[in-house]
Amino acid sequence: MRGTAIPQAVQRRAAASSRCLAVSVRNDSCLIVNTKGGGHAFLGLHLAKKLLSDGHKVTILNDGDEAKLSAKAPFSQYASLDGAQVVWGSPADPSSYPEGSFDVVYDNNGKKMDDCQPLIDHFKGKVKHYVFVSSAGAYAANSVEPMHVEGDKRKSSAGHVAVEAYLEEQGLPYTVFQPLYIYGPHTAKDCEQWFMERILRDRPVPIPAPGIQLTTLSHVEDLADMLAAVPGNDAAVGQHFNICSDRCISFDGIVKSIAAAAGKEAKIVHYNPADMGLAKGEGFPFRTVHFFASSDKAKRLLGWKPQHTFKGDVEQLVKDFQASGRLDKQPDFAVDDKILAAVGYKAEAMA
Amino acid sequence: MSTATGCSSQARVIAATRSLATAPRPAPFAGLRRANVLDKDVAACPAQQLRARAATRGAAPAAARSVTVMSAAVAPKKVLMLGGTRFIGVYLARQLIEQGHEVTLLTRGKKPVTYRIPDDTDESFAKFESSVKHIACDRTDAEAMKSQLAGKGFQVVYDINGREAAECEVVLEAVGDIEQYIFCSSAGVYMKSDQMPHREEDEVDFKSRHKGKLFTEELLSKRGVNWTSVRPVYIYGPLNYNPVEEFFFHRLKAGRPIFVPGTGMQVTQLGHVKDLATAFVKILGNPKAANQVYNVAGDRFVTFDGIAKACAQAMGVPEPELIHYNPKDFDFGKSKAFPMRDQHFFASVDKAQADLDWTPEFGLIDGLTDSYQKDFGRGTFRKEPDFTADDMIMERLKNKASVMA
Repeated sequence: MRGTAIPQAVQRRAAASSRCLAVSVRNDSCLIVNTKGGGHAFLGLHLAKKLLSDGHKVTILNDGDEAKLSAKAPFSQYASLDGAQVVWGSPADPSSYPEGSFDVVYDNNGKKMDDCQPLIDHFKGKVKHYVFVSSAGAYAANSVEPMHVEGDKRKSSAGHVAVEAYLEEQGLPYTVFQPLYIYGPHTAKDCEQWFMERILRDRPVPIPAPGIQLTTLSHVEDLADMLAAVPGNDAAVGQHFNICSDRCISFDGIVKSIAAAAGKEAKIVHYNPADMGLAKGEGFPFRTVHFFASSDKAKRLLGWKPQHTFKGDVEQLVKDFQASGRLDKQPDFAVDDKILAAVGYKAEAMA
Repeated sequence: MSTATGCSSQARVIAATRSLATAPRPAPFAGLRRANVLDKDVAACPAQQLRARAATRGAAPAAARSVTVMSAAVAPKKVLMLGGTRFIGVYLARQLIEQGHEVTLLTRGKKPVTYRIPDDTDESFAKFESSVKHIACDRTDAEAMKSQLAGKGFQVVYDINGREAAECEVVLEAVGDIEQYIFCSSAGVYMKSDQMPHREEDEVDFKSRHKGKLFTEELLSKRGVNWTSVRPVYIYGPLNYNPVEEFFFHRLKAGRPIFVPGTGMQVTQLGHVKDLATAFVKILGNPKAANQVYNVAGDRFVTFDGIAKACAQAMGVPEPELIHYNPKDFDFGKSKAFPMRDQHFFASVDKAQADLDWTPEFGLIDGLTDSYQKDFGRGTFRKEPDFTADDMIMERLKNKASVMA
């Protein structure tokens, strides 16, 4: 019931959420500072949707130029957000920040102190909860125990780590989330689509050997659910959480499951990237070591549960890709051809 | 996707006071459910209902965890353990006795029933030796089992060494009405998959060499007895009769390189036997565990290369030379070239952690150190080393090198 005599303490309607809460929750005013591209961009959109459906007030401060970006996914979907206020500006420039006070700020933009510090300094002492969407890419790879668990060693070069230390040092009521690869509707960055482009055109898929490397692929809605569990949740304050599916899948397994879902043959060609003389960013879209993480902490402390697995979603993902019109286009497969030639791949003659 | 709402605290209290004896039995399976031995009929399974409610509670995680539906101290039970003199049961029997239960081991009697182990103190061994009981019997002999077990009043059965459903059937026929049947199964029952880790709800493989465990789980659920099945991964620890860590310790001691199939990036999982024993203890008298399957192992996963390095660290020796080979290039005959199945093999233990208020104490290095210090490092091991396969690989590599030179 809104507008009661009890200030800011409002019972959430059970129907508004698929989760039944044992405690009453505020209707918070949330600011999502969103990035202008990359794998995180659509997280802001889906988080906004979830927060709105949970009954919160949502403002988005999106980095970048509205004219350039609003026609592209995910920003083109902002019009469909019922009730969100969208402001275009620069997270590094406090004069572009939206007016008003916020209970929760989500920084889904910054990767290093230059991007993040102005926001932190501006909102310090003014928010009940400060959420930083960091990255599990900051973990140092571990060839003995490869799964990333909160508290594991991180790369010294990771800019995110300095931001997290600053949040701690400045005493903000923070929560840090560490995502891995994300898929789902309206993404700005390809994930499984790289595989689809090849498998659905009956092309072989060049996979860095041995192909058994495990990676976590997570559905954006599962991430939005976890991020939206934060407002009013004291258990999350001062904590780091891996934010990801509780399943990982091998590179070969991604190809096999897409091929099976699409009724295609899985043509896997293993190669050694070091032998190929590839430029940075060329070839395979994922890190070539094991890259998977545990989300058990979020399950325990936030009562969160993933609803998706990649294998469970793959049929729909294939359908979405087929409906996207991308198969009518002609991607550039020059790097693929270079790799295939180098390993001596010979396409079988068509029957 | 569960959309259960209405998780009132009243419902929790009702669930908490529901005792084992009055809990409604799960709906009987229609035919042989080969895809999955778990009861997916949520309405019929009280433990599943509890879990579904707990999962849909959002905030207040501390409250959700503290809803344990059993009192901290379980009433002492008369326990029958099938096995108990070799590895898992050695630790489990001691823990149960410490908890105040009366424990009877049923074995053929070929191996001494009570012997001191490195983890014993004078007091603990004295208590164990004077408390534990024994029945000498061949568990496959139905008539002998009936005559030995009928009317003895056993309340809880731990079936540690059962392999086939027929063996379990003999026990059920002989022991009469019991409160709980706790079975040691294996994570080897899971269908090999590209998507990992294995979770309890995953597809199982009725063609695997562990299918007897699956048939046993099915039999237990069909019989309507209150059963729990535990699926360990690779068990290790002092007294391990399966040469898991021993394989590496032998080679490290001999200063030999360790030959690892493939790239050594295969991911697997070790579970310390003492942690496994504790999980078994936590199942006793726990209504959440009714008719459930639990993966039990360590909470982190390790690569093949990683195990070799970790064993070296546990032994306090330098990192070994790791040599990778293609197993398809060789026929090793009866010699085992590597102690693990050549695939990813690891399981999530979060269900056991949630339901049983259990978490593994041992990590990789301290667990292997424990095993080394209490077993191999004292000069004890189960099998003499067999370096046949190692030498075959080494020979082939030498020949290749000399050909290429």
